[in-house]
Amino acid sequence: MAIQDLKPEPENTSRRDLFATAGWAVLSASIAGVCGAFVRFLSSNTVPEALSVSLIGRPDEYPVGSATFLEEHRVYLLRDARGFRALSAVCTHLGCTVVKDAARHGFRCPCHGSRFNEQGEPVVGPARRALAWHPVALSRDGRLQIDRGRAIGAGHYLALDRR
Amino acid sequence: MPSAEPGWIQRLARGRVWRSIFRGEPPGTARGNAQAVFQNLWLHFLPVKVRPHTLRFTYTFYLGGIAFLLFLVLAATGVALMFYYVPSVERAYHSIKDLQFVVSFGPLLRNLHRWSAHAMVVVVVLHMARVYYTASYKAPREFNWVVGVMLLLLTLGFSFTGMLLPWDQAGFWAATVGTGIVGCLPVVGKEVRLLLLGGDSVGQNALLRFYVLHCMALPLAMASLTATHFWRIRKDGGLSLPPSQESMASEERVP
Repeated sequence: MAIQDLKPEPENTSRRDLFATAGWAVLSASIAGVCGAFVRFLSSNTVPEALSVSLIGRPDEYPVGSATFLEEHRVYLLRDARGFRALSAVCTHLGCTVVKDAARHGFRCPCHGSRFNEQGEPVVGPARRALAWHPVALSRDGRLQIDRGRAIGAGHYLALDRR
Repeated sequence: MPSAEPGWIQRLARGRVWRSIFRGEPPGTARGNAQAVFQNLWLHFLPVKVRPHTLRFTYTFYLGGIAFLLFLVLAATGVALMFYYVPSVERAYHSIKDLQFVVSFGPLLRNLHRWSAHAMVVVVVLHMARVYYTASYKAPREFNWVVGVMLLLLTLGFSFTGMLLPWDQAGFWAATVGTGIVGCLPVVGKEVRLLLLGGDSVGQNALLRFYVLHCMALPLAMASLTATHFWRIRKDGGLSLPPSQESMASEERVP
């Protein structure tokens, strides 16, 4: 091929530019389409999730005044004179597991030092939101049931003696 | 530039960003067009000169290029499939079923991977036949023929290891029979079979080993040997020519 052949011919330049622009446009659209399809492909249509409702045993396994850490569910089950309540052990700062602070009647987070009172309200530290209260209910066969998928307002107790 | 008003590509090519990425003169002039090829990592293996005879479709049928294109398709779709596939005996089959029935564009990507894989085996064998019938395996291209044979074996290795991954009956028994054949090799057979399977039978270890071979070891080997293959084409004087033209071409070979 002679070197002269590589020079664009002036009378054809505008048509060549038109086709070149159209070609780039089609190529860009195709690449954008493939990228869009790939993002759609990566967006999971199903997400594996653990069942949020769990049965945690009979009420008499938890005496009045007890605070039991249910490790598997990351929940504290507390029982006092007002009844049962389930307090999430997931720190509202960055998701570590809070531990019972026996000396101060509350909870503290080992990661960044947040402290919560017995009601789960933040007292000290970076955490600003209260620990979640999960609903506690009694199943048909008389076992306690917690739902970690739902958060309810503070102060909701399951009182057995009033039933 | 002969034309009075340069196109937007030319204008872009003169910009500072473009020139920081692409070295040399911008395309548009003969020198710039040549440098666009020579100074580009992905194009520099292309030959300095091309003889018209080698460009004829009926001489090569573009089989080597098609095989390489299929390899690129397989690499891209394979990486996409890896986002969902789990190489465990409990989950492998179900993750393939998810890809087939739940994931958006999953069937498209999986079938692209599957059919491109079958096509690649066919195209690579046809490429080998073409090279044989045009006597392109003869000196000075003997070593590139050997590299090509290794690439064929790697292609078959991809097929063999990939077949087990869905963990279905066809794959399981193909792996059982295939590694059984390996076990019949004299002297080293039993050891090689043990190395491939990581055990006595096709189980979790074998699945993981085939997965790592399929997605890591074989692609790396394939990429290295493909680069060697392309580089040797250029160093051996470009594509082969009919015997009448080959003698003059040998004097122009790149040392």
